[in-house]
Amino acid sequence: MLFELLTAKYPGMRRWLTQRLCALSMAVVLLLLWLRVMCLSPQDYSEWQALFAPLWWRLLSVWFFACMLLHAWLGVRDVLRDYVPHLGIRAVLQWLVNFAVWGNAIAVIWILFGMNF
Amino acid sequence: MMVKKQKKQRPKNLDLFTIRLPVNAVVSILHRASGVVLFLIQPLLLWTLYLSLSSAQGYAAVAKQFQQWPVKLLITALACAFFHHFYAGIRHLAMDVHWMTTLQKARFSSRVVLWLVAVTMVFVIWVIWVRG
Ligand code: HEM
Ligand code: HEM
Repeated sequence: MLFELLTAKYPGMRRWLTQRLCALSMAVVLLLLWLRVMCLSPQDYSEWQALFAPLWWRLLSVWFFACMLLHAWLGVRDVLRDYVPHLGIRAVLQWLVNFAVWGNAIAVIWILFGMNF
Repeated sequence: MMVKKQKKQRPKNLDLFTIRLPVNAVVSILHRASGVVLFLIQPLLLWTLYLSLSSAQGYAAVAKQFQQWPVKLLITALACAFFHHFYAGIRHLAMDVHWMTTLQKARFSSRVVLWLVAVTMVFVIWVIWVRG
């Protein structure tokens, strides 16, 4: 029964669970990121750069941002469905939201892997 | 047609002075509002991250901005939104797995969430405004 709920027959259940798993993952990863920022407590540009230098840190950051974007996208989608009954207006707003989420995703990749700092 | 009829007959009370929002409702609506705020602010945060990492000058520009009081105010407000969303989100996840779901326990955990936000914000305000 539980696993049937996760098949393509019930996309709403999948979205629901994805949003929860992303939230949980964010909470854990955030603790790790926070811990290292606190322990190194960077005071200037070179120390700030050094914080982002290790590959594992960038990968963990990308994972965090991916969870955040997916989580927030699913959340805003629900909010629009609750408060914007007019289908046309909602479609436009959802399009804008999707556009923003993709833009943010590209920005994240660019910041963490595209710049050679 | 049915829908229209139902809409008319539904009792309504939108008088803000007589509505008393239960504590669970307060935590819930603030969770939604803070989620939307955090969503909207993402581009600005990513832009700040970009600028701070792009060059020493960019980093200095960001550091200088962080000294301005309107920026400090914005950060304080965003921290409040984040910590509310965070604590209330953990509570939400706990209730999703059927933990503390009776009305009495839910009211208790709502109060815990609000207090955690308050205590964290005292700390945040100290870090941002007092310690510099
Ligand atoms: C997720 C839970 C948290 C963990 C695991 C954590 C961990 C730590 C650790 C290990 C340190 C000491 C770092 C060192 O060796 O210098 C520290 C310092 C500090 N933490 Fe946290 N922390 C957490 C949450 C918070 C929160 C929510 C705040 C404020 C909003 C905060 C503010 C600070 C401050 C201001 C310092 C002093 C940093 C300094 O003076 O360099 N922490 N934290
Ligand atoms: C570790 C941190 C976080 C946790 C534990 C968390 C938890 C949750 C949970 C459980 C929900 C579902 C609420 C519901 O269905 O009523 C939710 C909704 C939402 N979250 Fe988060 N969240 C976190 C971080 C974030 C961040 C960083 C953002 C934005 C960038 C965000 C944006 C949203 C939005 C927009 C919603 C929809 C609000 C609603 O439907 O009421 N969340 N969050």
